[in-house]
Amino acid sequence: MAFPAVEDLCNMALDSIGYTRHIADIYEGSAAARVCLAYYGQTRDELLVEGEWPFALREVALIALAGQTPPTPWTFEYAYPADCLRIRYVRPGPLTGAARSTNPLPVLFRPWNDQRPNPPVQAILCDLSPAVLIYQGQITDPTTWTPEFIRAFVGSLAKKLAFGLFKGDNIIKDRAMLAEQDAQKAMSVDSMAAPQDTPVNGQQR
Amino acid sequence: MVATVASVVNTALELIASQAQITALNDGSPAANAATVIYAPVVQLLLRELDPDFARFTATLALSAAPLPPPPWTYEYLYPANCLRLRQVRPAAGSYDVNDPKPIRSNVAFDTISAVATKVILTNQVNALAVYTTSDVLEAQWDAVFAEAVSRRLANPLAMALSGRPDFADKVLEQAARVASTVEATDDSSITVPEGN
Repeated sequence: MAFPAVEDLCNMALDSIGYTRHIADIYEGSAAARVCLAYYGQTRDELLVEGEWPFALREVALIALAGQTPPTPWTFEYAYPADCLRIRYVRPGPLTGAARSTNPLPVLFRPWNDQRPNPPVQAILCDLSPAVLIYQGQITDPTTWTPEFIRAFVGSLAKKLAFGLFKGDNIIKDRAMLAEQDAQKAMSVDSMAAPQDTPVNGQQR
Repeated sequence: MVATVASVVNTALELIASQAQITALNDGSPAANAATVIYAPVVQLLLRELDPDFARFTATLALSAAPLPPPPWTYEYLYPANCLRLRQVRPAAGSYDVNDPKPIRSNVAFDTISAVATKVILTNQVNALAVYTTSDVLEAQWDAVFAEAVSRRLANPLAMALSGRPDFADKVLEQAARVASTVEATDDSSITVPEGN
């Protein structure tokens, strides 16, 4: 089995707050597993949004939303990728084959919640076509996470578990604080390793 | 030593300094008669209270015949007959992303199905499985600490039933609570035993 699995990460978080039990399956129904299940996905997504994690960068050609006229003053309305947690920037397309631009220009774009379809859809408004989106993706497979992200995730999850599992315990604050410090350390290490090859000055309106 | 009904009850009798010993719950002795009344409820109470690892059971839930579950629920399943406490409703293997587990809400409720009062589980999970504490577990599968907890909990009512000693019964009950608190700490999924236990 691939390491680390979801349960391995939960157990690291449980260990870091001094909880004396491990979980074998996040759906096993133990007190620890129930709290882990409640916070796992939210904690992961929060960290992916907050940090500049190079491993979570994704780049895709934007696809126009069929049948939708973009609102003024925008020219194009694109579908919002389902796994996009945070837009980093939009650059001119195509996705592959084009030479590096020698005259990069700011690109204006805006995420938009289009209420006209039923149900409403998330969209990206832009004046470029073709356009390429660079974004923080929802990377769910822990085996592709970097050690720094794992450390930050474990620290952040541990903080929430401390409150969920040690109700009324005086040591909650200490344990939560230690876990938070660990998460912050990991994030500061990773921000130094942010990508240096920003291709175009993305600018969100 | 593998626990048996007789050994668990006999340990309880020793704890209250009784000279009696039983060979089975139905051996006809006063001690066995007293134990018969309280044995199953005490075991089920402790299983439900402590959720020990050895009593964890997973089963596919059967849909109830109710035409429409109450909102906001999509599915109504029958509460398993051997379920003492529902721990978690979960999706079936292969039907979810193991890297992206999502909380699954559920509620235990009452419904009248074909004029029969029925205990049910309400959830929005299709093809749901339930992880629960089962009543089917036998004494031979108990761990030693749980057997000790049952004996001490049994000793309380036995002290009253056989000796009529409320003071003694109170002391035994206090001890039972202490032993019960160690059951979870010494369960198989525990990695250490907390200090003081």
